[in-house]
Amino acid sequence: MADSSAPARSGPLARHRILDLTQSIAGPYATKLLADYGADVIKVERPPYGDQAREWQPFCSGGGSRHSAFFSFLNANKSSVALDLRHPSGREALLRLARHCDAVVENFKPGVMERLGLSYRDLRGVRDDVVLTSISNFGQKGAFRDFEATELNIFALGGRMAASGTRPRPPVRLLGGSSLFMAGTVAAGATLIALRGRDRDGLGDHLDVSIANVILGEPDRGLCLYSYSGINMERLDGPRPYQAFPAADGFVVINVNRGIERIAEMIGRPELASDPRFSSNVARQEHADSLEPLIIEWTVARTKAEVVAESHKFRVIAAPVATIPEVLANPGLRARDYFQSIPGARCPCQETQPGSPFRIHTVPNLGWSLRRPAPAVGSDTCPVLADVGGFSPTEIEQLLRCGAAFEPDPTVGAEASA
Amino acid sequence: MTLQLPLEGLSVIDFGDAWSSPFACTMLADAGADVVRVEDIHRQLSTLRGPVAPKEKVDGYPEREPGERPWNRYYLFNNSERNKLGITLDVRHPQARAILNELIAKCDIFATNYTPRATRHLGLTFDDLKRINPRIVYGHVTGYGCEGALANSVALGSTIDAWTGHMGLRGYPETTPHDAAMSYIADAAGAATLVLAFMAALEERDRTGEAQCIELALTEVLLEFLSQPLMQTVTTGQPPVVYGSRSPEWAPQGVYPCLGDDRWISIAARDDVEWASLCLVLGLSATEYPSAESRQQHHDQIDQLIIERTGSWGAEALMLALQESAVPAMVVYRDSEIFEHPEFTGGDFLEEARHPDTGMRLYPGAVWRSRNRPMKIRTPHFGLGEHNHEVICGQLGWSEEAYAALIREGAIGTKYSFWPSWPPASDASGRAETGAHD
Repeated sequence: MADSSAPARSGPLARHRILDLTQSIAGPYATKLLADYGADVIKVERPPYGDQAREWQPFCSGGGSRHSAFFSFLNANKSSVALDLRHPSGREALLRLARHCDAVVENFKPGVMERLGLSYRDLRGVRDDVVLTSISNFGQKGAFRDFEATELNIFALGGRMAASGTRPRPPVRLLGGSSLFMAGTVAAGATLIALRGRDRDGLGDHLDVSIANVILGEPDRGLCLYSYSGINMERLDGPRPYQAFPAADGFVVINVNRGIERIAEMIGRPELASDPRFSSNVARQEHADSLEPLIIEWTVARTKAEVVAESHKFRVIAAPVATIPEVLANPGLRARDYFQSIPGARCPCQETQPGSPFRIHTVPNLGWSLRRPAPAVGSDTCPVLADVGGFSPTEIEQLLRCGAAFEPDPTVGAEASA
Repeated sequence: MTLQLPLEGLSVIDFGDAWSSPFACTMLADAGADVVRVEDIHRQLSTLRGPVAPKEKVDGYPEREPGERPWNRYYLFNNSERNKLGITLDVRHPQARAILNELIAKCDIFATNYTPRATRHLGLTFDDLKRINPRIVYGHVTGYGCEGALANSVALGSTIDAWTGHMGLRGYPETTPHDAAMSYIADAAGAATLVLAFMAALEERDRTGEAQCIELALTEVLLEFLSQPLMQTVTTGQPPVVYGSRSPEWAPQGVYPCLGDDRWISIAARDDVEWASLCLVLGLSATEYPSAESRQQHHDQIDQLIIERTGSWGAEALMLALQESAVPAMVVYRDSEIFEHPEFTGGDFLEEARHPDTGMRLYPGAVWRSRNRPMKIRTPHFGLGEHNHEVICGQLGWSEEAYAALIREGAIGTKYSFWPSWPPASDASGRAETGAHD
């Protein structure tokens, strides 16, 4: 339950209330973004276990219970109401809450909201200008709509994965989960855009955020290469040139597309600057076998830090390939107070969390705050039903008794299971 | 009732390079905002409009032909520059700067991803712009933030990828960062986050009437995406595991070969039921690895068993058979197959657009869809300086004489000043700058 000493909700989105029917990553990240910038996010979970990401690693065992540190990041600042939406009274309770919410965000499989009697039409019945944001793997219609998929399967669409990796190894994805974060970010922005439209003419909307479309539309994918030149990107038979250069203690990235003359000077071979083999991007790709070893010869003799320091001196674009422990200790990020803790943190995963993805300098606290830890399943069921839905104590008692609503037993230390 | 796009009437200046802040502006444009992208004929930081003086028959151009105006025909730029107007301004030229100031005075949003040093040098900081427009919402994308030792470091997709730890976590677990393709996801991630930032800051602007200043560091956006591995180190003190195509939550998950040349399928089994169904389709025994734990433990052996079976299946047939049994599976499709698949050509993702320099083509459209306010490609990608006249004379009311002087003095134009005379074989000297699109 939220600590009564927790900081009050503030931020640029403070006037919005969001009913959050999502679980796992994409949806919860969307609503986390909204909550961190001030929105009132009510997370609706299925009793008694709630969001499946509560079981996802890594786990934190501080504060007296074992809990998912990933969930704790994705769901800070939200309250949790546990409702059985398949129970008629649970559905009714949800609609009564929805009446007082600006937007509903969901990431069920397409068709589930309709089956629960919670379609866009149903929601409009209680709140005419509602914005319903539906996040799904492949969108609300189309041939793939009902396909089962994990993020790997979605990532397999379109040339990016087919071109990632080296033969004869299989195509490989990039970092797991990034498509979901990307779609969640798009969904959060799209929801606010739709609310802006609503503010103007009073018309709500149903948004269809397909994770597949989001990643296929990324500009770096350059999907129209095929409609222009009729070619597919392919995996190579060996490592790609100039990807990363070995240093004495790891790898570094050096951009060879800009400032070859400065690189030549830095590695003590000024003659390379005027060598026609290296005079353009295309030429440098063609003659990678000649240029790459000369750069490597210089980088392997130095640590990552030395390479980067020299690069800055010569205005060469470079960066270390960091490990995660190095990122957590990065003095630049520390100086910017990027990592943040939840007020009254009681375990490592509440003490150190990634901070704000953007800062609004003209708003108090830069517009962003961590106010309360992620909730236990149903930890806010009763106060939210009363304060938001206007349920009487008797009505709440009935919902709890018939199993349509759920609240954790206060005597079992629910507070610790953030 | 006529349905307006949600951002109709919102005026945006897109003063950025490459992808991050410009793609944010594309998403705003998709939702109806009036976006003017400002380029410069004297410099192009990233080569999104293609290489200078390309050879004949190069990938990236329609039919691989650079053509008469190659800079208007390159895929990397044209892929995601729909629904905007494009002008060129050399903002160091006093008259061009005057034009920019007129646009700034009447805009809602100014988006840039120049380094803090460059915005100071050009007089385009938040404080500079606030003096011109006291209600402006200013969005500044940087690699590492506006202060600190790295504030003015040029950050590219590759350096952000490395610096955040992303590069060390992606690709094959057993090889070095060399082996995976480059990832420039930070640009798209930053763009999507900037859209959210603009909407939040507009709320504040509308409430207070005051100008708003957003600072977004691409590294800090990408670190959100890395929250799972970051939390792993926070809670255990150990570096996170590199999973490649596998999952920390279930097994098996991987990419397996099928019949044909370089055909692959991605498959996952998230629980015992999906595992049993997968075994049934492939003719394997599910009882050997009955628990998630045992499957995670023996992932290598399971992969071998799966590979032995998938090799005799066509990728598409296997995908359909597995989906029929509710097992997550997807062919590793190439771009060509996306362009041929009804899932994507049905008009809800790939859309046709016609431009004089590229003809009729299919492009990705808005990345989300609205039921009540259809978001479409209303105008195609634009050529360099294509809307100079429309914006400078039409919208701002500059005279034809003043416009001609801008061209004469190189303040605006429709081809790059640093290019050799182009096309190379013909005499281009008689081609007036105004001719191409005005």
